[in-house]
Amino acid sequence: MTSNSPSLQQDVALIELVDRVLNKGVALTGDITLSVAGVDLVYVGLRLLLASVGTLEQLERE
Amino acid sequence: MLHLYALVRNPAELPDAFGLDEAPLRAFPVDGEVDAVVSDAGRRRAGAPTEAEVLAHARVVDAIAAANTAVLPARFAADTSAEDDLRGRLLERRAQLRQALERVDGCVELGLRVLPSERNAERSAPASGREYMQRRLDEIGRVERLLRELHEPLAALARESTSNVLARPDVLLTAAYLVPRADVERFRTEVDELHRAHGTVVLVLTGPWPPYSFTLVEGETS
Repeated sequence: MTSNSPSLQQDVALIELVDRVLNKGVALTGDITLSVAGVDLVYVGLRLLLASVGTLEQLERE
Repeated sequence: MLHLYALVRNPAELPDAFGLDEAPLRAFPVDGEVDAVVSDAGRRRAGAPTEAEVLAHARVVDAIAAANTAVLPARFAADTSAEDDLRGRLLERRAQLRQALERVDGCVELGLRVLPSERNAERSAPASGREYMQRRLDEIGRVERLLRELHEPLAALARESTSNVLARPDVLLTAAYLVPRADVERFRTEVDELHRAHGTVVLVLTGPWPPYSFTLVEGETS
């Protein structure tokens, strides 16, 4: 198991990016809740991520 | 109507990049000390951003961060702002913005996610209430240990940090660290060492990011 797996790294980076752009940073126009599109993006990202973790385990077993 | 990307110190260094819908970037002075970097929102409809818009916003913020030593990234605003409105809101908070700019000056953000290396979700359902309680207690103990053994040594290398345990069932810990640019390599080395020492979890380090997670100053609520 390594933190340097490129696909895991990429998936996490995408989730972290979306989370930052939509949920962090200076907000001036009131409360911007995570948009529906945002939720979908993050959710899809997480599923990708979990799939990757599974793939890694499989690769290790083989 | 304007789309806001980031706040920087006056005078803003504008990167050689375009904003959403290829609109040119411009500096929008808040007061003598803080500039906003904006583009004209043009035809953009208010509402949820598309994936392409999220990525475009992030790319512009990256470019601004590369050109200015202190940058406060803006969250993607679902609604664009009129000029006067934007200036008014920024002026209301200028003391906090200056303070936040000082804090992030010369720093980048590094993100950490700690994932379990085996999937606990596939365990059988607890046979009793007592067993359920014991599992929850074990889990809490485990996360507290992770905070102590992983987060605390990393936080010691950072100017500021935030952490969030069990934000989602399969993510044990998420954390963000505000790290001086010169210390990024040292930080990475420490993460590698912690990773080697903890076989039961996967550490994924991301960044460097512009300091999205460090734009609030004390006393301010999100």
